[in-house]
Amino acid sequence: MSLPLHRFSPLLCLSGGLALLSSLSQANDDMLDLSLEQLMSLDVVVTSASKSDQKAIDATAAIHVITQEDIRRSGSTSIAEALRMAPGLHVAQISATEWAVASRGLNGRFSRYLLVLIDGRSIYSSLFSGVNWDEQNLILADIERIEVIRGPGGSLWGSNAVNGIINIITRTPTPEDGQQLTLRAGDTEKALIQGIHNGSYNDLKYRVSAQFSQQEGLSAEALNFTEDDWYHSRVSFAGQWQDDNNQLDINADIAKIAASTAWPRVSPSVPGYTLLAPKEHKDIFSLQARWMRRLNDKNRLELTASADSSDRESDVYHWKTENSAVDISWLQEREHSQLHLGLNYRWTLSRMNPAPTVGLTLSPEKDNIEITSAYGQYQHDITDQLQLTLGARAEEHSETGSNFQPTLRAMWTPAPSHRLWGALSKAVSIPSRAVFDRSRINILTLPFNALSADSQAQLTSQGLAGFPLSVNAQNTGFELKNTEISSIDLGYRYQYQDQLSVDVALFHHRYKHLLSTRNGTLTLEPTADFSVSPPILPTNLSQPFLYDDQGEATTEGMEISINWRATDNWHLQYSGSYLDFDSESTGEALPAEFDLGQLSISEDTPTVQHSLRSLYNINDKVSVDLWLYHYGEMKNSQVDAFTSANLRVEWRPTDQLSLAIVGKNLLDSGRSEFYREVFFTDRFKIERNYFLELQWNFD
Amino acid sequence: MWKNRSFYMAYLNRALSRVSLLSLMSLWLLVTAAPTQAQSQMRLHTLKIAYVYNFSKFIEWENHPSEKIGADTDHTFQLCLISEDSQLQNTFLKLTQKSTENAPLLASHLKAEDNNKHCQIIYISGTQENIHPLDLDTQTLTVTDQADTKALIHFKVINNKLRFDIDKTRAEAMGLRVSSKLLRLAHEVY
Repeated sequence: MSLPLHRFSPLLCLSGGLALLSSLSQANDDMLDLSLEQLMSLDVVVTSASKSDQKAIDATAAIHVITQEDIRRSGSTSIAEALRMAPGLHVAQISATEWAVASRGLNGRFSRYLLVLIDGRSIYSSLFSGVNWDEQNLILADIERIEVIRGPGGSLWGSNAVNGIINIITRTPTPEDGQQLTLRAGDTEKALIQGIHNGSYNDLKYRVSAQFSQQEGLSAEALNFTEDDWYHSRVSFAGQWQDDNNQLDINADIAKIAASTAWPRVSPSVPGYTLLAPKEHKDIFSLQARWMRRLNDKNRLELTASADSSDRESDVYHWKTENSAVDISWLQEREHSQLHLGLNYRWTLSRMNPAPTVGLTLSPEKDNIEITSAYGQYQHDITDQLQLTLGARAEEHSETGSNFQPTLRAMWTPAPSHRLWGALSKAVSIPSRAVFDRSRINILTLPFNALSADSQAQLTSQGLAGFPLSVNAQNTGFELKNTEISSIDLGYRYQYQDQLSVDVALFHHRYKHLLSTRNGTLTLEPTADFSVSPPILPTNLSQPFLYDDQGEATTEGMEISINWRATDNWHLQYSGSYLDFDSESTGEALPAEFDLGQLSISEDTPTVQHSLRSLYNINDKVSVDLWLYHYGEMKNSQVDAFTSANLRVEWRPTDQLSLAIVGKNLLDSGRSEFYREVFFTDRFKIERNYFLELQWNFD
Repeated sequence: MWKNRSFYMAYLNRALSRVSLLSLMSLWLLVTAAPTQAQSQMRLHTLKIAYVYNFSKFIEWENHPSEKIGADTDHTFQLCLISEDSQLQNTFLKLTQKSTENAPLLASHLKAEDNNKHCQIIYISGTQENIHPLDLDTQTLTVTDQADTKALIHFKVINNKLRFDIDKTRAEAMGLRVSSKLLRLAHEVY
């Protein structure tokens, strides 16, 4: 008989891990009292906090799990969109293919402080920080669940897990699931065809999924510009082999994307900027193998090796990254304690060859980074009611040196359905190459007569009249420090059987060495733009602002999520977030006369967010799901508050067939959610849209 | 710009050489570490037993249980388990604390060769051959993990959820009435 081992899960590690190695006897006895419908909703192999699982309540971190059913019934067509369901996350669409996603504030296209993983493999970009969400848009039906953890997780997951971790966990191949064919058509979601085949070969269970989609580009808010349609094709493979003591999981993914992402063309000597929308071709590839070996009842070893690459080519840049990583960990569970020790090595090569038109230079263009780390976590049940966890990770980074990220966590169980937990943690974010290496980004070029009268007079007296002024961000060799966070987290959970659960989290995060700027020296420079001739003569003034690490900020806030099964057929989910961002130091401000309006290299997040979902099964065949969400105003980046809704109606005429109609952004149309924080362009409008989806499951 | 297409292979080579040393060391650790006896599948066992208990609520036996057998088992609903797994046996025996609508439950553990005609439900776990009632015309609901037996209900795991198939035709031929709700919840009915 084969023995299921659970798949990798940050939540598990935070909640103690190894749940399956010990018998879940308390929870098990309760099962005998459940109805058949309730039993059918339980996972056979419990890896994390599905609603029915006792372990969710036991995590000493602020967690939220988005299940496959949540994704499907929300009408989401991308991972980023599905993340809107989690409290504490701010998710904003920038353009058709770009998203800003962050946890507990400081959001941006190049979101620096959130670590995102797919089956434990980091997809954080070391070149620009953040995640290229379009590259990672897995076939949604292949996702088992998404675990969202707010707050620092650096003690286990390493650098950049500063204010959150997202782990996207794919489904185990299940031959009994048979085949699935999905067709979708709509106005924005123009076309999608997706096929999934589950099968087995001897002892190997496998799944092959393939997808092709065409989606409409978005229109700019002020400029007369619309992105081209974008095309996404993807093939994924998952294989699992298992015996009594071993489990081997292999995941591979290949994707091709063709899109036209907008970039500004900023020449230091030509005032203003023009929009470039080059055709971009992206090739994405990843491969991961995980071997779990059970040594005995109490001990387990896990070895993971992964490799991935992304190659993006357009007229304005060639951006390429490659990562490989290997991780070995040992997990031990005793009656009252759990120990998790691991070693990790990660190697990254990144390369950016920008064309002069894009206004970016990076030196060296190609570089690699090595990160070696060791981590450990020990959890001990002091009494039946009190549990303590101590963890730490030490990292050696080839560019920025070493760092140490510890945590202390405690869980108190005053009564079986109540939990109180708290955590003290430190974590770091490593500056990306785009700001750590020598670099320059031309942000905007102002005509001389747009400067203030004082500035004009001053420049004229220095003999510098008439030159346009290039405002740019640079690193001329300053070694930025890692951003550090010190955090206090508190949480309370209440669970009443399967019907009601309430989860409240409070936090206080203190950031040091946030990316900031200081003013560089105003210089007269020859243009780097060879389209202007002759290029060697002085053509413009340059006012650099230099990257610095003097930013300090405090964030405080609260998240709440409530799950209520009002009746057998009606399920309500609420999540809300409140965030108070207090920036104590951002370094020197730009001289006021440059009046950059909404231009900014700083991140932003609304103070308040709400999400309310109603999932209603009218009968066995028809379900109606409504999702209302509200985002507060973002003052700094001049984004208005909005409230919107998605509606999904599904009809299942037979067990095999399902037909769904989905309407999205129903309450507002044409809102824009975010300005890209650098490489500023116009904002793009998110429109109301509809699609029809037909799904056929067969053997 | 660079050659674009062969980059996967070149890249993989590079990646593999980078990680190979640590991988080899780790593999050595994994291979040389000695395994011990497999741990039980406690959760799955309990889940299956909870299902078996629930089945008793959705199936009617045409002959009342008390008519079937001797006085000592009058007015009890007999659930039987054939399995060599001691953990499974222990959990199964806890069902004796439960009852159906009409009668208290009596859960018992049998050996493959034991007489089992008094059982309303037999749950056979693991590979068991030559179990008597499977091919006899008794009013016994047989439940197994094995898809290729003649049992009336087969468990299977689909998408990490426990599901079951029902052989309705044979169940009815044996005089068992399966409720429409149970049939609706079944993954396959044949």
